[in-house]
Amino acid sequence: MNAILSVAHFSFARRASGMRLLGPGVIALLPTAMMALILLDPDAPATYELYRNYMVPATLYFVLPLVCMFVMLPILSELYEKGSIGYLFTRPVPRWKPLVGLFLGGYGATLPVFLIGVLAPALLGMTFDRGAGFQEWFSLAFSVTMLLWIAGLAYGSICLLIGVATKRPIIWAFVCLVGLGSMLGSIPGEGQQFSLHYYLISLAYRWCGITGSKSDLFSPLETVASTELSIFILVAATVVMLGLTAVAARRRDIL
Amino acid sequence: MSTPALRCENLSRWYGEVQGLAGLSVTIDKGIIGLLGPNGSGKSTLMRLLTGQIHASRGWAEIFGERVSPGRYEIFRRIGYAPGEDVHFETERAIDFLTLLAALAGESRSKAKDLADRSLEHVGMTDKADVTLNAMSKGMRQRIKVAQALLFEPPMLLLDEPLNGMDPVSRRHTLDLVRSWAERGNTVLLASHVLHEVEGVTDHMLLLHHGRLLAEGRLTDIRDLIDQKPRRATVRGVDLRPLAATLLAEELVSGLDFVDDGCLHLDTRNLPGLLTRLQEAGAGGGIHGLETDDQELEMIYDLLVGEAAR
Repeated sequence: MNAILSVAHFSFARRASGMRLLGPGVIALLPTAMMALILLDPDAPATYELYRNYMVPATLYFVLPLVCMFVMLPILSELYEKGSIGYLFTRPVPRWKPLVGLFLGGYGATLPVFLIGVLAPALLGMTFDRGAGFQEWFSLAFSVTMLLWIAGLAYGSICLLIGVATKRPIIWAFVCLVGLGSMLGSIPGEGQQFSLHYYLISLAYRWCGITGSKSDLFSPLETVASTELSIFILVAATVVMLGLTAVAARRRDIL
Repeated sequence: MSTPALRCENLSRWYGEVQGLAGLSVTIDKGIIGLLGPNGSGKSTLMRLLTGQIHASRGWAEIFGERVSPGRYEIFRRIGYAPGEDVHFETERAIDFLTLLAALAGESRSKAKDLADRSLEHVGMTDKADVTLNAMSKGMRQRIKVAQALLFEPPMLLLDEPLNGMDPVSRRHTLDLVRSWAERGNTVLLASHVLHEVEGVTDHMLLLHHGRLLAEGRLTDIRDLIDQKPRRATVRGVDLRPLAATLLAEELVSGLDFVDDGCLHLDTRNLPGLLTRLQEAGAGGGIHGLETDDQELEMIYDLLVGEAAR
């Protein structure tokens, strides 16, 4: 456990230090900027409905994958490019331990980014144009934060795998997370159940009360997966991705 | 028969069409072994193969009787490896970097810190424990690399160009450390592209050239061959003509060439004798500078490759 925790601590400090979280932070605050612009319009509809039906979906479609890409992709690709991964992989521990440590540290760095990305627009909307009671706002913000934190595990682990298994991680991550993930999950029919996005949206349906009929941004789901199944799939995907990352790390030469 | 420290059999690695290491078969036991070769000769490839960082295209290596391959990690309690690459954990303090690597091996935080302190002591950098790596000179980071290799005081050290970028004091300290480590009955594989660096600590060398083992054995045997080859020294100073006449009279030089009044090229087949004589002459203050060609390794290759061709 010491091995994993020590690397996690290192990885978190590395990700959260300096200006490294500035880019992800800016991305996470885009919904806040949108909220501020809406509040300037006196004819705008109630912000609660806007936030729930448009900003939350936009957060799931764009903020979630982009923040994961910014934070998680460089964790391994940087270490490989500079050859520094050799320092971690020439220790008397199996390679999955430093990998899990690196993952947990990076994941830890995404948590406050997501939290701020959810709380800031919610607080703005709540302060200037409630449109709903405090409890509803708080409940929604809490649900969205939980959703992002759980989904961040799966998306982050995909980024980690891409960082080891590919030579052009940014392109591949964009294709897999923003492109394939969202597109496959948005295609009507049973095929969407093979996308992690489907389970993410299912959780959003159940926890946030967002539906395709209320939001143009959300893909309509013919069937909505249960909360238990959705969480299980997202966590299981994380474990599988980390396992594949360990396999890829074993196969990849450190040059 | 006891198990050798290191054994390679037909160990080979290609990078696509490029040959990184070709059919290396050697057995190494205790002591310091100089791994010599210019850049691209296969030194780092061999180091990476021995530490399981890359896959062998063919052949195998064993360290203390254990087969080495990517993913086999138990052996790293007995190997200390200092890579050729710079340390890129730039924002870490030296002590934190070393503690991280010790804790990564499963040690508790306090034990890891103790091991890190001891390693810094080994390389004489206790007073730099709180300095971040990006605030250190390259030579200091090189010593930190050696320190992390020493964390568990392993019986085998694999040092890839550890002296690169070190100042003379650090260089001497590191070579002393290497020497004392070997005297304790350990094995040190010391890679370098500079002959005299290795020559200072060991007479036993492996010479790589284009990924192949060109020679293995005692450095002194080759040294005798080199010393018979003409070498060039360049002397700078004032009033060099009487000195040139003396050297010619003493038959220490086979030819000379005045570049200008203050600069003299000397050709010799007895470089050590010439250098001794010039140091004596320089004690009077007439010589301001002395340079010798740094082509020894190239000369060895010329000699060995030439002989092989013959």
